[in-house]
Amino acid sequence: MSLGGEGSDDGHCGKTDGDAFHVAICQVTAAA
Amino acid sequence: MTVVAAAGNDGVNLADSTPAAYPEVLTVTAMGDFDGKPGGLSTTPPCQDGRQDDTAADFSDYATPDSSEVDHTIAAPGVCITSTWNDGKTKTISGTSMASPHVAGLVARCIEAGPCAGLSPAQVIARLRADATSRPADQGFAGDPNHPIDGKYYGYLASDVGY
Repeated sequence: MSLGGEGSDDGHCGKTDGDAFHVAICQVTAAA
Repeated sequence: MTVVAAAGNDGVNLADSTPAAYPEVLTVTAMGDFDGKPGGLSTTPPCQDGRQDDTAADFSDYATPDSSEVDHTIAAPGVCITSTWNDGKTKTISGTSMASPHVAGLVARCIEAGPCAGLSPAQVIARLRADATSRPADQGFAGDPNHPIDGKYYGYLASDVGY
Protein backbone atom coordinates (compact mmCIF):
# COMPACT_ATOMS: atom_id res chain seq x y z
CA MET A 1 0.00 0.00 0.00
CA SER A 2 1.24 3.45 -0.82
CA LEU A 3 0.05 6.60 0.88
CA GLY A 4 0.99 10.01 -0.41
CA GLY A 5 0.24 12.78 -2.84
CA GLU A 6 0.88 16.37 -3.81
CA GLY A 7 1.75 18.80 -1.06
CA SER A 8 4.62 20.45 0.75
CA ASP A 9 6.11 21.10 4.16
CA ASP A 10 4.61 24.06 6.01
CA GLY A 11 7.48 24.09 8.46
CA HIS A 12 5.10 23.64 11.38
CA CYS A 13 4.25 19.94 11.39
CA GLY A 14 1.05 20.51 9.43
CA LYS A 15 -0.43 22.89 11.98
CA THR A 16 -0.31 25.90 9.67
CA ASP A 17 -1.79 24.30 6.55
CA GLY A 18 -4.09 21.84 8.33
CA ASP A 19 -2.26 18.78 7.01
CA ALA A 20 -3.48 15.95 9.26
CA PHE A 21 -1.02 13.48 7.70
CA HIS A 22 1.89 15.73 8.62
CA VAL A 23 0.53 16.25 12.11
CA ALA A 24 0.34 12.49 12.59
CA ILE A 25 3.88 11.89 11.37
CA CYS A 26 5.21 14.57 13.69
CA GLN A 27 3.42 12.93 16.59
CA VAL A 28 4.90 9.50 15.96
CA THR A 29 8.41 10.81 15.34
CA ALA A 30 8.27 12.95 18.47
CA ALA A 31 7.14 9.92 20.46
CA ALA A 32 10.41 8.15 19.48
CA MET B 1 9.29 5.88 15.72
CA THR B 2 11.41 6.58 12.67
CA VAL B 3 9.32 7.05 9.51
CA VAL B 4 10.77 6.09 6.13
CA ALA B 5 9.06 7.44 3.00
CA ALA B 6 9.33 6.82 -0.72
CA ALA B 7 10.41 9.91 -2.65
CA GLY B 8 7.80 9.45 -5.38
CA ASN B 9 7.89 8.28 -8.98
CA ASP B 10 7.14 11.37 -11.06
CA GLY B 11 10.75 12.39 -11.71
CA VAL B 12 10.14 15.78 -10.11
CA ASN B 13 11.23 17.77 -7.07
CA LEU B 14 10.17 15.82 -3.97
CA ALA B 15 9.49 19.13 -2.20
CA ASP B 16 6.07 18.99 -3.85
CA SER B 17 5.23 15.46 -2.71
CA THR B 18 4.11 14.28 0.70
CA PRO B 19 5.12 12.61 2.93
CA ALA B 20 8.49 12.79 1.11
CA ALA B 21 8.73 16.54 1.70
CA TYR B 22 8.21 16.36 5.45
CA PRO B 23 11.54 16.99 7.25
CA GLU B 24 10.64 14.48 9.96
CA VAL B 25 10.86 11.47 7.59
CA LEU B 26 13.81 9.71 5.95
CA THR B 27 13.02 10.07 2.24
CA VAL B 28 14.30 7.41 -0.14
CA THR B 29 15.08 7.92 -3.82
CA ALA B 30 15.62 5.01 -6.22
CA MET B 31 18.67 3.86 -8.14
CA GLY B 32 19.49 0.73 -10.09
CA ASP B 33 21.74 -1.94 -8.60
CA PHE B 34 21.58 -5.16 -10.56
CA ASP B 35 24.57 -7.05 -9.16
CA GLY B 36 25.33 -5.71 -5.68
CA LYS B 37 28.61 -4.35 -6.98
CA PRO B 38 29.68 -0.80 -7.83
CA GLY B 39 30.94 0.37 -11.18
CA GLY B 40 27.98 -0.22 -13.48
CA LEU B 41 29.26 -3.67 -14.41
CA SER B 42 25.95 -5.36 -15.09
CA THR B 43 24.61 -5.01 -18.60
CA THR B 44 21.80 -7.49 -18.06
CA PRO B 45 19.11 -5.96 -15.86
CA PRO B 46 16.84 -8.46 -14.12
CA CYS B 47 13.81 -6.86 -15.76
CA GLN B 48 13.19 -5.08 -19.02
CA ASP B 49 12.64 -1.46 -18.14
CA GLY B 50 15.54 0.16 -19.98
CA ARG B 51 17.35 1.44 -16.91
CA GLN B 52 21.03 1.09 -16.02
CA ASP B 53 23.10 -0.47 -13.25
CA ASP B 54 24.47 1.92 -10.61
CA THR B 55 22.52 4.85 -11.99
CA ALA B 56 19.75 6.99 -10.47
CA ALA B 57 16.33 5.95 -11.70
CA ASP B 58 14.87 8.56 -14.04
CA PHE B 59 11.42 8.07 -12.53
CA SER B 60 12.62 8.85 -9.02
CA ASP B 61 11.71 12.15 -7.43
CA TYR B 62 14.74 14.04 -6.14
CA ALA B 63 15.73 16.98 -3.97
CA THR B 64 17.33 20.11 -5.29
CA PRO B 65 20.89 20.75 -4.11
CA ASP B 66 21.11 23.16 -1.17
CA SER B 67 17.43 22.65 -0.36
CA SER B 68 16.23 21.63 3.09
CA GLU B 69 15.06 18.29 1.66
CA VAL B 70 18.70 17.26 1.20
CA ASP B 71 18.97 16.85 4.97
CA HIS B 72 16.56 13.91 5.06
CA THR B 73 17.17 12.21 1.71
CA ILE B 74 19.01 8.96 1.00
CA ALA B 75 19.12 6.51 -1.94
CA ALA B 76 18.55 2.76 -2.24
CA PRO B 77 18.00 0.16 -4.98
CA GLY B 78 14.55 0.52 -6.52
CA VAL B 79 14.85 -0.81 -10.06
CA CYS B 80 13.83 -4.37 -10.97
CA ILE B 81 13.24 -5.41 -7.37
CA THR B 82 11.71 -8.83 -6.77
CA SER B 83 9.42 -9.10 -3.76
CA THR B 84 6.38 -10.96 -2.58
CA TRP B 85 3.04 -10.10 -4.21
CA ASN B 86 -0.54 -10.32 -3.01
CA ASP B 87 -1.24 -13.44 -5.06
CA GLY B 88 1.13 -15.55 -3.01
CA LYS B 89 3.82 -15.33 -5.66
CA THR B 90 6.57 -12.83 -6.38
CA LYS B 91 6.79 -9.96 -8.82
CA THR B 92 9.65 -7.82 -10.13
CA ILE B 93 8.84 -4.11 -10.36
CA SER B 94 10.51 -0.72 -10.09
CA GLY B 95 9.70 2.33 -7.95
CA THR B 96 10.70 4.29 -4.90
CA SER B 97 8.18 2.15 -3.02
CA MET B 98 10.61 -0.69 -3.72
CA ALA B 99 13.60 1.39 -2.54
CA SER B 100 12.17 2.60 0.75
CA PRO B 101 11.76 -0.89 2.31
CA HIS B 102 15.50 -1.43 1.95
CA VAL B 103 16.06 1.62 4.14
CA ALA B 104 13.26 0.75 6.57
CA GLY B 105 15.05 -2.59 7.04
CA LEU B 106 18.35 -0.83 7.60
CA VAL B 107 16.75 1.37 10.26
CA ALA B 108 15.47 -1.72 12.03
CA ARG B 109 18.85 -3.43 11.80
CA CYS B 110 20.66 -0.31 13.01
CA ILE B 111 18.38 -0.10 16.04
CA GLU B 112 18.60 -3.82 16.76
CA ALA B 113 22.34 -4.09 16.11
CA GLY B 114 23.23 -1.20 18.36
CA PRO B 115 24.47 1.89 16.49
CA CYS B 116 20.97 3.41 16.46
CA ALA B 117 19.71 1.97 19.74
CA GLY B 118 18.31 4.68 21.96
CA LEU B 119 18.56 7.36 19.29
CA SER B 120 15.68 9.68 18.45
CA PRO B 121 14.18 9.44 14.95
CA ALA B 122 16.07 12.57 13.90
CA GLN B 123 19.29 11.03 15.19
CA VAL B 124 18.59 7.76 13.37
CA ILE B 125 18.09 9.68 10.13
CA ALA B 126 21.34 11.55 10.71
CA ARG B 127 23.18 8.31 11.46
CA LEU B 128 22.03 6.54 8.29
CA ARG B 129 22.81 9.59 6.18
CA ALA B 130 26.25 9.94 7.76
CA ASP B 131 27.04 6.28 7.14
CA ALA B 132 25.86 6.60 3.54
CA THR B 133 27.98 9.70 3.06
CA SER B 134 31.09 7.92 4.35
CA ARG B 135 30.78 5.24 1.65
CA PRO B 136 33.82 5.50 -0.69
CA ALA B 137 33.00 7.60 -3.74
CA ASP B 138 33.77 4.72 -6.10
CA GLN B 139 31.04 2.66 -4.40
CA GLY B 140 28.37 5.18 -5.23
CA PHE B 141 26.20 5.61 -8.33
CA ALA B 142 25.63 8.02 -11.18
CA GLY B 143 23.39 10.63 -9.62
CA ASP B 144 24.77 10.59 -6.09
CA PRO B 145 26.37 13.81 -4.77
CA ASN B 146 29.80 12.64 -5.92
CA HIS B 147 28.48 12.02 -9.43
CA PRO B 148 25.60 14.51 -9.84
CA ILE B 149 23.19 14.45 -12.76
CA ASP B 150 21.54 17.65 -13.99
CA GLY B 151 21.72 19.31 -10.58
CA LYS B 152 19.41 16.73 -9.04
CA TYR B 153 20.10 15.48 -5.51
CA TYR B 154 19.27 11.79 -5.07
CA GLY B 155 21.36 11.41 -1.93
CA TYR B 156 24.09 8.95 -1.06
CA LEU B 157 23.51 5.22 -1.37
CA ALA B 158 22.45 3.73 1.95
CA SER B 159 25.05 1.50 3.60
CA ASP B 160 24.59 -1.46 5.91
CA VAL B 161 28.20 -1.60 7.05
CA GLY B 162 28.30 -2.17 10.79
CA TYR B 163 24.60 -2.91 11.25
